[in-house]
Amino acid sequence: MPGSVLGSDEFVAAFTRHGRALWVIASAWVGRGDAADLVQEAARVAWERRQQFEPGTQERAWLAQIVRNVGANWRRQRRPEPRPDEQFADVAARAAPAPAWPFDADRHGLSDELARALGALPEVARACLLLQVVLGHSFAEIATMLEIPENTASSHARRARLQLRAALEANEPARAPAPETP
Amino acid sequence: MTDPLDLRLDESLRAAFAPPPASTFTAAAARAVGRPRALPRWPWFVAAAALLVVAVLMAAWPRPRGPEGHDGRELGALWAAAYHDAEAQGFGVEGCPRTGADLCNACEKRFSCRLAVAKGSDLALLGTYEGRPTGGSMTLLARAGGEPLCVCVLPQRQDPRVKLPRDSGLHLARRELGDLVLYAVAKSPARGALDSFVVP
Repeated sequence: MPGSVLGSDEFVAAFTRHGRALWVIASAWVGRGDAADLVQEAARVAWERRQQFEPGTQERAWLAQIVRNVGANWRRQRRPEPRPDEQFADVAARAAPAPAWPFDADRHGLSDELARALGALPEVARACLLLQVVLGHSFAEIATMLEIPENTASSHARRARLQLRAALEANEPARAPAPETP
Repeated sequence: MTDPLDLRLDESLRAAFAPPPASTFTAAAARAVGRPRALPRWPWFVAAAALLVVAVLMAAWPRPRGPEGHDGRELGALWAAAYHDAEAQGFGVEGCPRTGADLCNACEKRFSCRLAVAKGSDLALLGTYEGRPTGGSMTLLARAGGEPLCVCVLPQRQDPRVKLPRDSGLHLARRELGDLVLYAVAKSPARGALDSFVVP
């Protein structure tokens, strides 16, 4: 990348080039329904912080990091408010889990079981599996984008797959026994 | 990967998470680039906080008050009443300082500051006013160019910036002289009369 700061044309080109991966990561963090908004917000943040981009480093990893950070804030901001009558409300608020990955809304053809199993995965595991399956990225590429070791990316994807398979198998209709031949 | 369950799983995921076309991301980046950069908010907060601090300081800052605790308007009202009273009495002489030496002594005794009338000035010192209360100021009766006036003397540190009532029909002139502040209260502007005073 020429120059020390991303120009607007370079930025738009880079964002377009890596948009699909960023969108999949956003989906893994906040769900498919909010992924487009998250990507848009990440674009705004990335453009504002373009001076922080170090030329020579991977722009996709830099953008992916911004998507993950914006996604984490996104989830934090949607943490449910404690009830006013709740004792130690502030402690409860801190301890409250982040809202579940929204599998109910806008499932786009996923079965309930599969969507629920996906929602139960950690964000990183979901991202590893989706980046591998949907975009065909190697674990080395995934590891760079998510800033995790390659074998961690691989094991996340493998475990995620096993859990989703289990969900699918549980929903399989019991196989009828093969008819006996006379 | 030939397991039918894996194939079905991958197919479902690819269908459900097919990213939008590249033009979507181009548009998102273009919007981000084209959007005017949001101005940082912190300077506004700092400015608002500074204004608040200034306002609080101005409200809470102890303003000088007269020797008996009057503010500028109160002291002005007292002086205006004193002037009208002195006028009603015909600007009669009531106190000690009739001469320059008397004034010097009286002022030194009261404020630990020396004050005198310059030789050759057209200000005629008549004496001190001892009628109505004047808020702890030393009030002198005088004539300058034939016009009667009151000269009120305060230590500078106890000068609350006196203001006469609007309906008093009087004029106020002010002069700082050493550690003292002199006010002339008269029916016409009498700033020149104050120039007759000197620190001996």
